[in-house]
Amino acid sequence: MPVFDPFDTESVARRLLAFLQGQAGETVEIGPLRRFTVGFSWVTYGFAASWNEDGRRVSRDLVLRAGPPNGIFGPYRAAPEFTALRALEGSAARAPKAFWHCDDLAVLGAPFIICERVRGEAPIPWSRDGRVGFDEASRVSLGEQFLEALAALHNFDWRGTGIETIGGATRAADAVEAEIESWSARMRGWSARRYPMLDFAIAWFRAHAPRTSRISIVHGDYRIGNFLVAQGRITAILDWELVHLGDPLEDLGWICMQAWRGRSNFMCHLVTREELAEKYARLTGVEVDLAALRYWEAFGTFKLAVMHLAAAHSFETLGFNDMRMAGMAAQIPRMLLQVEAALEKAV
Amino acid sequence: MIASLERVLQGIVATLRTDVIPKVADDYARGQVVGVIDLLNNIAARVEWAREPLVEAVRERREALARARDLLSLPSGSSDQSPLMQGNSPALVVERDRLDAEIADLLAQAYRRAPDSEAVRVLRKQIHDDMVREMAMSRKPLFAEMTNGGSRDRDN
Repeated sequence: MPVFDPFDTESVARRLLAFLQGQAGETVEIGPLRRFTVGFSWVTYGFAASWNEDGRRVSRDLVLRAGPPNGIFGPYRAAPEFTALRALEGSAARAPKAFWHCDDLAVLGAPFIICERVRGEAPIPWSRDGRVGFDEASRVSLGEQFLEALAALHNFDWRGTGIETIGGATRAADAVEAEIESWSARMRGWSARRYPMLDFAIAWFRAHAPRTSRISIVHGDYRIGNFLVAQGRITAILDWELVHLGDPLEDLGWICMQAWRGRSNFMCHLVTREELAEKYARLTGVEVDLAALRYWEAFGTFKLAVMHLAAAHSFETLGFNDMRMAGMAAQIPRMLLQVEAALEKAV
Repeated sequence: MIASLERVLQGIVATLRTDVIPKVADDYARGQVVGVIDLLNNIAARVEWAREPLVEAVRERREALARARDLLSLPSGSSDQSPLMQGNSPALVVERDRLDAEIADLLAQAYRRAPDSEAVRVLRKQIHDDMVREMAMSRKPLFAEMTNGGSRDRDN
């Protein structure tokens, strides 16, 4: 079993080439791997590849994403994300084209997925001055595109497709409890230490669960920072590792979280809460229950707090020496306070 | 926060050695990083998390638990009346975490009985006050710089 060392790019490239030759034939050639610094979870590299296909030479700029064994959300599986991306290919959800994936650790020592490389810049919510550099016209335009892609995802007819296997709830009656249980289990797995605020939040979520009206594909991390923009257009929605079936309001609540907007009145620096509800209803034909939206915003804040526990776990227990993980662990008190505030607003 | 200060220092040293030093081209700057590693290695055996905030954290948890148990007409817990621990910081961390588990369980019990009860209020106030105290010791995160290393470019 190979050991996945993200810094040993020559070794990763050698194994990757062998895998690709098994998939696309002996004619595959790849260029050097360039590791990207972005992302807190999967390790991401860009590389160029070419191969023969239907009698002609095909060249592509590709991205390799590998889930390290000691990464924040480990153990990883690439299959759900790959299945979702393949199903959504060509849809208005703007998912990057996925080529291959592998969950067999014997190949790279880590699960991985290979996608097209989409050009663009990712605006991030954590600027030094708390602002994101959108002028008003860009904000309106990007906000519209952001919601159009989300509506396309939520309106995608997933029944009878491979999406049925990606995990989550397939019955509306199960959707809320499935998410509560999923994230409670993650919390217990990542932290032996009990945080009374989080335990209380779980009890509160169970006591105040809203009714789910439909089941959709839920991206799970749909926000500013996870899409690319080029020439004023959103070119791709990224980071599908938390994709699952569930209540689509989960994505809307996640968009509304304070963590993605700081003190801005614009959710993800793009739309007001009212615009979000109005435009989403227009695009999907589904009215947004504002109380349920607050519930899912609070639940998203809880999820984010649990992700901080995952960061602490990966650093302290799994020996992942990414100082961003220790940095996230230092922010757990801030996250707990945000959970408390979100619950109080959701009452 | 990471419970083990030793692990924090070990992680910093490993990151500097593996991720930073190989990328530092300037000899003087590289020497300075090695100096930081040397210093961290030397202080690692001499430091632990500040004890006073931990003593305070344990004391306040015990008080809140005792008050809530009284309100719920429950017998006092084993640690309610014992003197504050004279142990070192790691022992206090263990005791704080044990009390947090007690608070979580008692709060769940009280919330099931009566969500608006005084016992729930007492425990939630302790939780809130503790989070505020912890926040006062936490600096604003530098996620912007951590995420992109100073660049705004990103690829999928």
